Amino acid sequence: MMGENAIHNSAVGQSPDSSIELHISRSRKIRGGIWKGLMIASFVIIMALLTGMIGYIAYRGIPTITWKLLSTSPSVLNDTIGILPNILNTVYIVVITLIFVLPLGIGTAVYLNEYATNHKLVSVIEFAVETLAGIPSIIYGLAGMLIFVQAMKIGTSILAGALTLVVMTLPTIIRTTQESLKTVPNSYREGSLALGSGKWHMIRTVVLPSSIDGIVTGCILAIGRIVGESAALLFTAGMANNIMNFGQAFAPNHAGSTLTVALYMYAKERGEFDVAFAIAAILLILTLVINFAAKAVAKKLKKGTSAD
Amino acid sequence: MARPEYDRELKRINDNVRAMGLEVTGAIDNTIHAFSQKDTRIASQVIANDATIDRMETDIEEACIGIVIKQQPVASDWRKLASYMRMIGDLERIADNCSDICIIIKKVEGMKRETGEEGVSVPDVFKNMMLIMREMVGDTIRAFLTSDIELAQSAVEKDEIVDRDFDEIMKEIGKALKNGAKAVEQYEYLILIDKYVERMADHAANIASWIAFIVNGELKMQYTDRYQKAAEETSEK
Amino acid sequence: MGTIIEVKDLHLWYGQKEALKGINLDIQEHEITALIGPSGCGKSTFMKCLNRMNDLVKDCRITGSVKLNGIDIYKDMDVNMLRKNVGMVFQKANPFPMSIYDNVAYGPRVHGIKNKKQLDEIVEKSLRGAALWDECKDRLKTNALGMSGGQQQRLCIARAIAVEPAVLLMDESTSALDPISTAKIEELCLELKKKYTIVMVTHNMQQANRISDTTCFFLLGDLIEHGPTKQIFLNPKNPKTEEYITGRFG
Repeated sequence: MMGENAIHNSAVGQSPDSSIELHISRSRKIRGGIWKGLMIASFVIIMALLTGMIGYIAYRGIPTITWKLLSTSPSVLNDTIGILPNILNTVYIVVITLIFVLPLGIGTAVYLNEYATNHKLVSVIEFAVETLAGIPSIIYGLAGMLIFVQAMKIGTSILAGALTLVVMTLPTIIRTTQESLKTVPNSYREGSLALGSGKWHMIRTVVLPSSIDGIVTGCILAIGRIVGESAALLFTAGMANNIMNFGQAFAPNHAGSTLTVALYMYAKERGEFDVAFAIAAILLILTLVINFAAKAVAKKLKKGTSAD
Repeated sequence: MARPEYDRELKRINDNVRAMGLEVTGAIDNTIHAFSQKDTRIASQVIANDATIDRMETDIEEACIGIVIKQQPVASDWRKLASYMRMIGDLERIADNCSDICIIIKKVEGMKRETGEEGVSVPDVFKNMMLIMREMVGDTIRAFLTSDIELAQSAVEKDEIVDRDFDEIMKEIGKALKNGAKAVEQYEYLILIDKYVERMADHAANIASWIAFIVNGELKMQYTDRYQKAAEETSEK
Repeated sequence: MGTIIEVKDLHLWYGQKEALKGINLDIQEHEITALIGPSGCGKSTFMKCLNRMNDLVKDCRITGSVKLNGIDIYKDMDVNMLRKNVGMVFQKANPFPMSIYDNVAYGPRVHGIKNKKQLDEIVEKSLRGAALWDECKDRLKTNALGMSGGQQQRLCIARAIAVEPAVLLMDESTSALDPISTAKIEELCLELKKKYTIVMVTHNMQQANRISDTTCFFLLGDLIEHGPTKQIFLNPKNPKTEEYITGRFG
């Protein structure tokens, strides 16, 4: 490389001080090319993995999806498999968890970011939240079982599972909300206060609407975790496959397994891999639908603040 | 944040105004000499030198305009520059008046040589008036260099003496003409010179009044109250 | 015309640092008062005392009195009411990420006006007041962030005057704008002072000279000199003022 540079320099001009190099050296070009190639390669690998996995799941799962599978409960008598209860349970758990975790998480984040003045305390809480986010989910399941199922006597139920997931997803919501609150320019806050608005009015009308994107991102991440969670729910929400309505889901002692738990059960306990792949495909679709729905809600919320 | 370039330019302009002032005083001295000694050679020199003074004025004017556009002077800097631009006008007019007097001197001397006419006797007070005018200009320039408002004020006050002398000379010339003096043309020229000297003193008073503005920002126009007085006097009659 | 703001012996500390060292100043109604001085001289800090924006700063301590129309704003006035009466336009235009209409209607809504017709009137009047109506009357519902920098700043002025303040504080409000937008806002200020009293912080001395009636020169937390702008710029009494405005200091 050195030699090449030397040759290059001498070739450019007799007085290297005064001449401007017109081209970068070939070695720099090669190095740049190598890095670019590496990055393209990693992108290709990731895309291949992603499409491969989705493709494989779709290939294995979609043919097994029948209306019957989607619309019935499993029946031992008829020896049929249906996953309707699991789909409903999944939706229930997502909704119930969000009902609890959103106000709690956003409220905490708003408090930490907008009201709290004791910076030491805030950093301690932030550290605790971060630690909470790193705990394996099985431990949440264990704690949920001890606290919600046994101590609070809710019993193995959708509600107990949802409450456990509230604790588990709280850090995600707090963190993402807080991050997005931090990106709201201070000038918005000053502008609002300078017009004589109170602090809460300022937060409600300017700060929260401006951070709605971040809050929705938090939601999507939380939903992803809820839908994908099995370990924590095995202990708390149980494995029942009965159809129940939303009211029952909110009551204690109504156990029910979500799609993920069902997937685990069918694949691991019963060897029904076709059903498992069908559930996997449905989970993918469900996640996609929920994400789009969340984005649509965010758009609606944003519009709500900007139009009168 | 000092402004060395700006300060240098301001100093350069100040030096040039000073140089112009000294040049004009020189012209006055020469004019007085030419008048009292009837020295046409010196008179020619004064007339020739007028172009130099005109050039000095233009140079300073350009420098002032340039620095105003480039540096947007305010406060004392602006007071100085605004004053310079007015002062050099007055200085230039004084120099013009010197040339005018010198032209007359040359004309009168030429006339006397042609016709063999004798020179008329110049009233004594004439010399006095010229010296006082010269003093006013000198004091004004000194006051400018030392920011001495009192000296400038005393120069302004001397204008009244010049005015008085002017009136007295007019009277004397009038008397001489009434008594049937022969060299009427010479007397006419004398009247012109009388007026020129009086104007020069006015210009000196103007310059002196700008010094107060430079030093403490007071705008005080000398000629305003003078003409007011004149207006009152004439309306009474 | 009379005194609208009366500041007596105002001291301000940020923690241990004394940022204002006993300011005494009367601000006249329907005048533009310009606060000038080098960075860190306390001019912005002083201005923010007038609508208590310093309350937001931690460890900020204030003694002395600031009276608005004779009422002590630190003792006898609700801070939100104070800010309704003393509006502020910031250095950088900070329209909210909402429609132009909602930006202007924000203040009136804060203070309880809900009637649609009334809000429409206020919005139009304020936008006209800020010389912005003709430029944006057809796109009131579009997002304010799509406007140019100069328009955004005038929108902020419209937003501020929508609550009909008595005093308008402007914190270097043209420093981020191009000369044409700056000229528009200066022109606007001269129009606005007929109705409001304007206090502006500016680093642009020509600007202070051009549009203000009174100029106050701050240095290291002291009010060194204040007086009619023409006098300050033609014949300042204090040599420090002279040094600063002729650009030989600071």
